[in-house]
Amino acid sequence: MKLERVKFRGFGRWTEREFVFGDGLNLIEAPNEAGKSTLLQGILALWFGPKKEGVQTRTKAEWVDRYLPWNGGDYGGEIEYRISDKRYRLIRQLDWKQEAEQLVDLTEGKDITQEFAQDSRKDRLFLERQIQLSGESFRRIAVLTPGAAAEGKKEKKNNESRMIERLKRLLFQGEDLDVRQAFKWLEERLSEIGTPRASTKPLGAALVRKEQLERELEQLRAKYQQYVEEKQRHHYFLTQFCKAEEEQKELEQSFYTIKQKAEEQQRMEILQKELQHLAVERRALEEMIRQREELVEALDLLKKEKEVHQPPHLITYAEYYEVAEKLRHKNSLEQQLKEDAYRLEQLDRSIEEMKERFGRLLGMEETEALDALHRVKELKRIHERIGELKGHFENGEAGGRLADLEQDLSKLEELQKQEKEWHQAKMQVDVKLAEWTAQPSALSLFRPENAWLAGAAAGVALSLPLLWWNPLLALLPLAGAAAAGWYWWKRGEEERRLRRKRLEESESLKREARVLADRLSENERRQNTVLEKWKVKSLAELARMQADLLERERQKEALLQELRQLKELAAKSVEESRGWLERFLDDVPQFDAALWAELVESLISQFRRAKTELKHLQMERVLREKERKEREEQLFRVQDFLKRWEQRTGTTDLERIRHWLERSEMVRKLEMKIHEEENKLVELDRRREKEQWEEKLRECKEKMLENTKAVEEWSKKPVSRVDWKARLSEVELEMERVNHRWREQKENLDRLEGSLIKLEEWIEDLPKKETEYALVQDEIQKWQSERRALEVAREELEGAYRELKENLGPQLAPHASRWISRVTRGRYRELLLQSGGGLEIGVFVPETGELRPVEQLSQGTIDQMVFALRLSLVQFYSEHTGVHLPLFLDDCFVHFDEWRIRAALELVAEIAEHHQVVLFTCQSREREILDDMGLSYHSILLA
Amino acid sequence: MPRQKWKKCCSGSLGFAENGRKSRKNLLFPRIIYLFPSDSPHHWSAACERGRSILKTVTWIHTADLHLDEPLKGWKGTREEGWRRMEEYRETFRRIIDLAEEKRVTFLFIAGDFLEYGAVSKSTVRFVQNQLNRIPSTAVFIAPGNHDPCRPDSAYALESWPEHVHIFKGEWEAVPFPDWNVTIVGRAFTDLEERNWIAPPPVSGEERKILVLHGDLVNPGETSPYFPVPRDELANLEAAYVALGHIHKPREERLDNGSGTLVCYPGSPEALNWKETGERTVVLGTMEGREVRIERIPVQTRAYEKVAVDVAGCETREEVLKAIFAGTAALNRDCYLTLTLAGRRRPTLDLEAGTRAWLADELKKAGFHAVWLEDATKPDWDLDYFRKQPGIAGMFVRRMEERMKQEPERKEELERALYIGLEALLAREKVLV
Repeated sequence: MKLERVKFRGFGRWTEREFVFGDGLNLIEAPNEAGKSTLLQGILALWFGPKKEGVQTRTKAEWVDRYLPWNGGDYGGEIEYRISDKRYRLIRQLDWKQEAEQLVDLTEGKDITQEFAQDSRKDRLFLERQIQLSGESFRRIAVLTPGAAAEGKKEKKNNESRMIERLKRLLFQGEDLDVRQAFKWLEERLSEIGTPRASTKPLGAALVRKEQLERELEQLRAKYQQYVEEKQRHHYFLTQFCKAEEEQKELEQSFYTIKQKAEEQQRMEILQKELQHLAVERRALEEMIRQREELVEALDLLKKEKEVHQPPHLITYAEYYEVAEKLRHKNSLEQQLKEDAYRLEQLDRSIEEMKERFGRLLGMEETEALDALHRVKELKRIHERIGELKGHFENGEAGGRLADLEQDLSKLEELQKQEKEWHQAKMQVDVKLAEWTAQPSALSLFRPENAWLAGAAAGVALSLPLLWWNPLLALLPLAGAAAAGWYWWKRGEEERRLRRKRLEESESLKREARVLADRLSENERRQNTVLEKWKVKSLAELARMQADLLERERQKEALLQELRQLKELAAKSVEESRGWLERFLDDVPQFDAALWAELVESLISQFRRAKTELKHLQMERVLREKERKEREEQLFRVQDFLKRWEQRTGTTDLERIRHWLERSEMVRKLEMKIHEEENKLVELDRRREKEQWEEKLRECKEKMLENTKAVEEWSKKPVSRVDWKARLSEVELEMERVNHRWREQKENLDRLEGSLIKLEEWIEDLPKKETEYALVQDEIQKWQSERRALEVAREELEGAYRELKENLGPQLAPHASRWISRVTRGRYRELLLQSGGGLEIGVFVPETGELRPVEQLSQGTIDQMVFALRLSLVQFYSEHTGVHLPLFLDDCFVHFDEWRIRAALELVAEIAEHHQVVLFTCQSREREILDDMGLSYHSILLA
Repeated sequence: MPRQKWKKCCSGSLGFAENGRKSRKNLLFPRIIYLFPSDSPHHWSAACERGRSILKTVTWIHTADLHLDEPLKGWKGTREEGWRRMEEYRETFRRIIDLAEEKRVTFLFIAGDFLEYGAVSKSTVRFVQNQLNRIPSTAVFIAPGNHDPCRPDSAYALESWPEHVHIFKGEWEAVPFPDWNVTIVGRAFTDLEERNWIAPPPVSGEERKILVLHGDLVNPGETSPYFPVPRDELANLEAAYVALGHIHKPREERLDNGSGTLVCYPGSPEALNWKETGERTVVLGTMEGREVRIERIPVQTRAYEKVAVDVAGCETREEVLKAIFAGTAALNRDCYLTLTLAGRRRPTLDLEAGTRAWLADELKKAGFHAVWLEDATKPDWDLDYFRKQPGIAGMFVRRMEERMKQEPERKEELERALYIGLEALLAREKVLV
């Protein structure tokens, strides 16, 4: 198949533009945006039309609107091509609304459009049918674009293995279609649905919900079953209950009938009893009438007897006893009044006697007496204290002792001062002595002057050898030795002089030390003498003794002062006490504190006794006087009473009054009896009036007559022979039994109804849950169906991929091997497919004879192999379709380096021998290389 | 065929309505009810001999298959929305009672599958009882079906029902209404399946007869686990109207017999699944003389609607939304709408969950009550094209088609897998041409 000519009436930038193509290689060189891609797209559009492939409905291909003519006008053109020996012209109107197509057989010069029947999309598929490839397949096979041919550098950066994958796809699928994306998409869809175990995904969640609902429904259905069963029981009990209720009503009706009969019977019995009662009542009424008449008679008799016993004055027992008591009291009072008068006289006499005997003493004030007693006791204490003080002064020490002590104390202080001074002097002497004795020894070898001696010796020793060697020179050490010896001798003399001087001074100091020691011994002896005199051990103790003696002297002075004051106080108190005693005693004794104290105490005691006795007598007299007055008043009242009594009765004779009392009592008894009988009569009259005895008696007699008649009539009836009350009791018992049953049934019903209400609440949701369960089942079914469809799609897609791989790969491999050998210039000769664990690709390396996996090849080699594989695909499909397909290379070497372009163009030139090749490029490299390689080509200019 | 004798079953009270209690005097129902067959000295026709000189006009509402408290089927909304939906079934029953009250109908027939057996809650039963109490002057007949068989443990047997409600039991019963010259004959399921047709005794006399039962109307010889009701047998009964339940799709047919019996399925009054789309109705029946007329009255609280919108050619979600609005323009928006996006979808058009949620939001803003979008589109891949391609896409398509041939029962799933695989391979590839 060869493209000969293309003419666009309008397609993108191309308007009324024609391009002519030659056999073999056609080179279209033009810069970017010059219309290369538009040309390629236009060729394909004119060949395959504007409809989208692969869809049933007539659909615009995506590019149609993109390539509308820039200048308007017709959209389309014509394309001439040759297949085998035949030439064709395909004319197309690409305008979507006015799409038209025409195929002309140029060889025979006829329109063959109608030879191609329209499909469902009204498409005649001219070229598709001629080359047995769809437009899309043709594009995949015959068009190499930069994206399809080499994206080497870009991919290298990202992932080199993607190119290998592409290689594999081309080899195994015959197309560059990434099936992995499809698998991935299917897996994602499956994952979205999830497995039955994945409870977070829709399918798993629905299954979980289904299980939960099944459990709930199981419970609800069981409850529903229980409800139905209980409802049946309820129905049964309701029937029983209704029966009991019916029975109850029948019994109630029967009960009322019997009850009426029983009541009538009861009424007759009551009439009979009433009859008996009326007879009793009649008798009672008659008896009461009789009793009243008797009472009236008895009352008359009592009144007559009372008139017989009536006294002149009615006397009561109280009056009698009162008069008797008054008389006795009067006598008693008169006797007591006499006794009181006598006693009062006695008391007056005793009081007078007391006043005469103790008149002076009774004038005493008790407070003064107590003061006097206190003073006398104080005087006694003062005199005792004066005695104590006097005894104290008689035993006091002589004042000369203190002066002696003060003298010795001064002496001792002086001695201690001297001792201290001498001790210090002695210490200084001892120190100096110690210093003298501590001077260094003159014989010490390490004394500094010995160095001079050593120097002199050394000078002599040195001069001896020098004398032998140089006598003149030996003079120098000898002179030095002499000077050192002289100096050593001088220092020795000085030392010895100093030693003598120190010895003399040492002797002087020792003497001085002995004198000082003697003095100190004397001083110590004298101090001891003074201390022994005062029997103390130290000067401090002697000083304390002096302080004690001074304190005693001060105390003695204070006591003398106190003695003088006490004597003055005692004299004053004696005078006061004597004055007080003289007020009550005619002869006061000489002052003696104890005696005066006894006197004062005796006077106080006497005063108190006399005063108490006089008070007692005066009080008794007052009391006696008061009692006498009271008795006189009582006597007056008694006499008054008796006087009034006598005025009333005319006598105070107790015997006579007693006789009257006895008659009065009899009269009173009769009066009481009369009163009682009168009361009885009043009561009977009240009852008689109220009860209307006579009327009642008449009515009673009439009713008795009536009742007797009714009872006689009832007893004649046959129902009277039945015991209706017994019958009533029986019915009542039966009713009780039925009622009990009714209650039992009612309880059962109520219980069941309670249970049913609960169950009804529980099962209320059953229909809803059933619905929900159905919904969940539908949902599960939906997800499962979707999942199965996805799984089938995945399974079949995998199968298709596998089948294609296993079939196509081996067929394509020989073609690919040839082109790979060419493109790698024999470096890799053969493409081998290995089927261990899936198909793998390797190339045969002739030098080593090894099979190298494509993964080990360099990126550039893989790019070349991809290109070679595309060529082999063109060749492969050309063989299968019987049509040598043209090859369109659209800037596909843009990323190749020169060496690889040369190799590729070499191949292109080779394939161009059998296939028309159209090479689009935006650079001059391809043209230059072709020229350089001397390869022929047909150049097409776009400008 | 010898005349059957009838047994007097009770006096002044009705079956389960009594529920063990002594009932008050029933004002609606006649005092005598007969069971078939029996040895009673009375006869069906004999019981209907009173007051027939004038045939009064009788009206009724006929419904069935409400399935109260049945779990929702195929619900697409959330759990909470589902619970609200369950409340709407109650609401629908309330609307039926409203209608009965408004029309003052003589009878209300509920031909089974009313209270879901084994699931119905007490509150639902109470609600139903309260609603029925609103129409004391309407005689209510319930003929339990296979979803609510009248078993001793069913709500019908265990609950107390109003006096004017009659619940049929396993045997045929006839309830005469002499004042209306009508006898209601019915029976109930007592089990989840009843495979054999049991014919009621032949009926004669002048009374107009209405049959109420749950079952599957079949042709002679056909079978059904749900009480097969053969047409010829039904024709022999010469009933004026046969109120059936079981089939959720409304339908009626007139039998070719002397009475011109009208057999009617009212259909479910509220959609129970996504097959029951559009308006849901009850039957309002009128019998004047012996002529029966019916009218279907919508009662649904909220309808289910399914609309498919072809999104072919839509490039963006906005275009899809526009297509949806165009496709649903004639629709009442107060419904549950399942919007199926169909047709060939551009491979670049995303209709994944996120887009569908956006579309649903936009539709709600536009006044739709509830919308669920389902993507039934197929990517616009040309399988013929890919099948011929040499690469992996071609290989995949060929393999998948081969597998679909081998596993035809999984066709739908495999087709989905095919498009998923193609999308994985191609949708994300940059196509140059």
